[in-house]
Amino acid sequence: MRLSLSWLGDFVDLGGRSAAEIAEDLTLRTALIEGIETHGEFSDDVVVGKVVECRRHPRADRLACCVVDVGGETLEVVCGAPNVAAGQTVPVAKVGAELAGGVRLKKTKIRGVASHGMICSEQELGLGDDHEGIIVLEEGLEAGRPFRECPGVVDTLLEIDNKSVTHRPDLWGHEGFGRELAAIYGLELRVAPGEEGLRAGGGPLAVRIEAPELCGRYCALFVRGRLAAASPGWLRWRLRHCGLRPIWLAVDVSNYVMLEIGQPTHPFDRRRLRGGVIRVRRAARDERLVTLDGEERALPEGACLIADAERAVAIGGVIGGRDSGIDGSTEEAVVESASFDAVSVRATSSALSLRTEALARFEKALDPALAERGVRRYAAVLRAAAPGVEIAGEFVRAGDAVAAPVELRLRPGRLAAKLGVPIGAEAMESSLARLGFVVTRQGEELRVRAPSFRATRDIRCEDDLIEEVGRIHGYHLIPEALPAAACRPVRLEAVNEAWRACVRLLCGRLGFTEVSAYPYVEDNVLERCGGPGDEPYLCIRNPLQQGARRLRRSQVPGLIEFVDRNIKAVEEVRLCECGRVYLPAAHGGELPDEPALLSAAWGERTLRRGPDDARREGQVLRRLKGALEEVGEELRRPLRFERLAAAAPRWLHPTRSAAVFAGAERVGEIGQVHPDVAAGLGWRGEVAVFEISLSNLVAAAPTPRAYEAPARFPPVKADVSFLAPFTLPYEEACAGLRRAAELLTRIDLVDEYAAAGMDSGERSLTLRLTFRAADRTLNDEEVGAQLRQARSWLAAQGAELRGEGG
Amino acid sequence: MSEELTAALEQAAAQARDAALAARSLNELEEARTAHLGRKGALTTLLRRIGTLPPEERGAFGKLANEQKREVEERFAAREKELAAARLHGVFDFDPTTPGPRPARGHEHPVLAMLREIEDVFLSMGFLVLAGPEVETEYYNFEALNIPRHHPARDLQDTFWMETGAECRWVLRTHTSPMQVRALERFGAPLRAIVPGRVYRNETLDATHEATFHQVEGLMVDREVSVAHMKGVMAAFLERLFGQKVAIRLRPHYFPFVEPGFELDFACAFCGGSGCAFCKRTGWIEILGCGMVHPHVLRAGGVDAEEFTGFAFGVGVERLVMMRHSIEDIRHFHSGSLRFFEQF
Repeated sequence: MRLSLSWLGDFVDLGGRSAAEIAEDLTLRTALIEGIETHGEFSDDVVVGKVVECRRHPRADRLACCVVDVGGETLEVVCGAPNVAAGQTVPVAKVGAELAGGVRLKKTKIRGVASHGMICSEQELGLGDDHEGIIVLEEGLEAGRPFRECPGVVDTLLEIDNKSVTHRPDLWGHEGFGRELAAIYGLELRVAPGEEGLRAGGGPLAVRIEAPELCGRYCALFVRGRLAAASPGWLRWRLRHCGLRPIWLAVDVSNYVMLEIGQPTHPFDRRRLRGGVIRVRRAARDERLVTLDGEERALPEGACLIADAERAVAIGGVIGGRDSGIDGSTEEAVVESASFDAVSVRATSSALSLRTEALARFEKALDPALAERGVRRYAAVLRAAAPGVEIAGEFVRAGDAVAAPVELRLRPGRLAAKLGVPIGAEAMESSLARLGFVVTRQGEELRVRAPSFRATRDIRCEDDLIEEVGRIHGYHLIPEALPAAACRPVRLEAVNEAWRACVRLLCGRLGFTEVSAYPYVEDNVLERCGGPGDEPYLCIRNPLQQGARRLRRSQVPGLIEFVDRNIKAVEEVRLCECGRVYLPAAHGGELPDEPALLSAAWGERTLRRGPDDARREGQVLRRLKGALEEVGEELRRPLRFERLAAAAPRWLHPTRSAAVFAGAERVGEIGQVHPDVAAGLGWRGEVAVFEISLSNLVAAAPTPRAYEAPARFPPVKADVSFLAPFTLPYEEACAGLRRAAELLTRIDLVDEYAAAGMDSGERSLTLRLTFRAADRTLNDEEVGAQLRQARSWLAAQGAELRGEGG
Repeated sequence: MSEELTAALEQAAAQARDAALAARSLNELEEARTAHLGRKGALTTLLRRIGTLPPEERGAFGKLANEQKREVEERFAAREKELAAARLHGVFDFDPTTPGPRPARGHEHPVLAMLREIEDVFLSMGFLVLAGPEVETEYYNFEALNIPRHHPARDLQDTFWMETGAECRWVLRTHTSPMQVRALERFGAPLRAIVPGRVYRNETLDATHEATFHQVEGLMVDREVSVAHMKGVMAAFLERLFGQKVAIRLRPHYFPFVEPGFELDFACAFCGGSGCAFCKRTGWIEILGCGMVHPHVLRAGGVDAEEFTGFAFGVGVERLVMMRHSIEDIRHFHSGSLRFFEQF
């Protein structure tokens, strides 16, 4: 919304204050001013011209060749506007004039006819967006006079951020901002005067409100005369500067009143209302109306309609009908100024997907008293704009809605406690009074009655009054102070702490990159990972795209997608994500479970070769498992892994996968990506993933760190290498070795691999055995005996031993 | 004594000493020795000129020359020892400009890293760090926050609605503010807490608009908490975040769940407040929304709105990260692209 500085001057005497100063003060105390623009400061080359002659271009139907008197000389100008005509007074840019966008006008030939200037539209002059036609000025302006000297052409506009006044129905017009400035600067406010001589009474039409819950008051004013004439310059310029296109007198006055006091009004052509009655009623089923914008609209059943005896003529508070509005021939009009229910107009507007200037105001809950002010102000503006128009002395007034009075107490102590600064009673009273509140003192307290234009929704409680006083005082004057809060130890949330520790570990030492995927997973991503399966998903009713309705139950499909995006460019990808998944609750009506999961993927583009140059399988999964074991170590919840029996996620390899346990609780899975998924994505290397629930993991108590005093006698180490079937699990082998060699105190895995050329079902293991006695240094014979016992146990299990370890 | 000859001698000796140090191998050292101390070496040649001096100056010059020559020889001997010792360790000569091989480094997500950074700031001021549901009821997301159905404020937050049965209306939370009420219900007053988390708006994506982004909500409720306290805590927060003190200002703004409500600007760090392209010539940059907790919200959380007051704030995390690193497109954050993330 734009505010004209000259218009604001009607309400408050701003003296020598600059636009920048006013904008700053409004920004700090009322609403954000997003920009300041000056309109109309044209050079001397843009002048007033009179169109003396206007002929059709000999070689183009849509162009006109005009002769324009620009004072002391005449110019031949070619014009493409549909509305140009002889006798008009128009702005003319002469050759050399600078137009909007910095273009300098040159002499040109248009289809063989020389043009020595340009008759300008709003857009060419940078006054607005309208380029449909040239600006037609009022008669009586002297030809040749610099255009900027014409009254109303130059103005400064403040651009209001509409979002900062959604709660203020009184700030949707200039008068409201005038009141704010009066309060900020301590000035007198001059309210917009209405035609006080008008009396409520009868008229040529009766008004019947049949849905009083939707329309609390309806006023109708009757006017007669040249209503489709052009409005005077001052009125047209104010509309233009504020971004509205002047049309016809009766419509322009309506827009003017709206921009001034915030009350939308609507003129009907009297001839087009049938049956001598205006009915305000609810829309019946299947009613339709062609609205002012030319659209035929199906009306939502129950919406507030304005109708005559036969049919709908307008949608109350939203938009008028095309066939009942003012046109070029209107000579008699009925002007509506009403009070519509804010909730209902909003519902109607959403149902129609139609937003209008009127709606933007009514949905904020306008003061019902504005309905009557609207007709009185309309009459006053119309009289000033067109003295010849006849205005009926009586208007029709139906309905008696008024804003329920709002009376509140304001305690200075409460105000001081909330703002952090005390404000004197006089200052409070004067700020509130200038904003239109009625204040009386009652001992220590103030009794405050809100003005009706703030009482509809905005002012509800004492805190609202504190805001009024605080902002006029100036929030920037409140000092900064740190609270003296009691010292309480902060209770840390276990999941959050675990999340931070995991990220530190994975993104630090373990070389993972933390990523974040959308929580709504695309169907084709799920499809690539084996489909959504049978589990229930929570779905978004109005998703950004139809293929992304489901909220994820796992982060793995997203990670697989990210691996795929990167693996073509790099040899190795390590990604992790820690986020939420959304699992519908078992009972309807309960919010879903949103556990925090830690997931990771490790992908390599090709299989790495071992020292024997053979490509080794399963190594990516082994490395990822190592990383996951580190996570368990970091969180002091040692993890256990068991072969997955059933219920594996669809994207996991059927055999190279495992369930992850912390204590007895299953917390997740790890495995290589299913060969079908990998093949579908065209991967040649290996990708492994894990996913664990941090929520479940931290539910288990952490294992305390066990300390053991360093051993006093040195260890002896020896490596053993052997081929062993996968049917002899590592843990079983370790347990067996410990039983076989009692001095074996530690077993470390040096290497495990399976490579092409080996028997399937077998892998090569190299273990480093550490022997130690608590009470002596071991001698060679003792170690040799221990090692022999270990090796013979392995041989007995079917392991094929290689060479002698040292 | 000839000044000129003395100066030449000192210079030649210095050059010889430098040459000894510059030698990177025994061969190079031997070459340098020949060049300076050999029969035709620079220093030797100079020493021979002693004969051109008047006899009374020869004594002093000779003494100086011997001192210098001894120093040079010592330097060569020392360097020879160093190089010989180095040779024991092999042929590698260290080039300090070659980058060292580094262990693969991971990268934290810049937005989540910022979230954790903000957590640290508020943890240090005694705030709890809480999490709340992302699939939220209409009540907590709107009504409890003083945003009834049909309120125009709902238009400001294009909402994702969940498919649910008729008995409940759920949304993907449009802000972290629902946790104000949930936290008050759970912990009561007094309370200091922040809620970092993901929020959702049904918006078309472009370089500056995301449908999924992060906010940090903050809440402090106690006896006599005032606007002045809010300004103090916000200033302390921003000082930690920016690493320097920044000027802040409050502007009135409407949020239904605070009264009074504000937008908080900080003085543009680029121009120092005088106005530049970055701050759109205003000298100020909007950074967060805040205000005094509305009595409606306190009551919804079961807190006596007469006894307690409080402030709340909400800050968008992506924008902070984009400002800090001059990131041009918000969509990078969900791209999963290593080329983007490896820079952090």
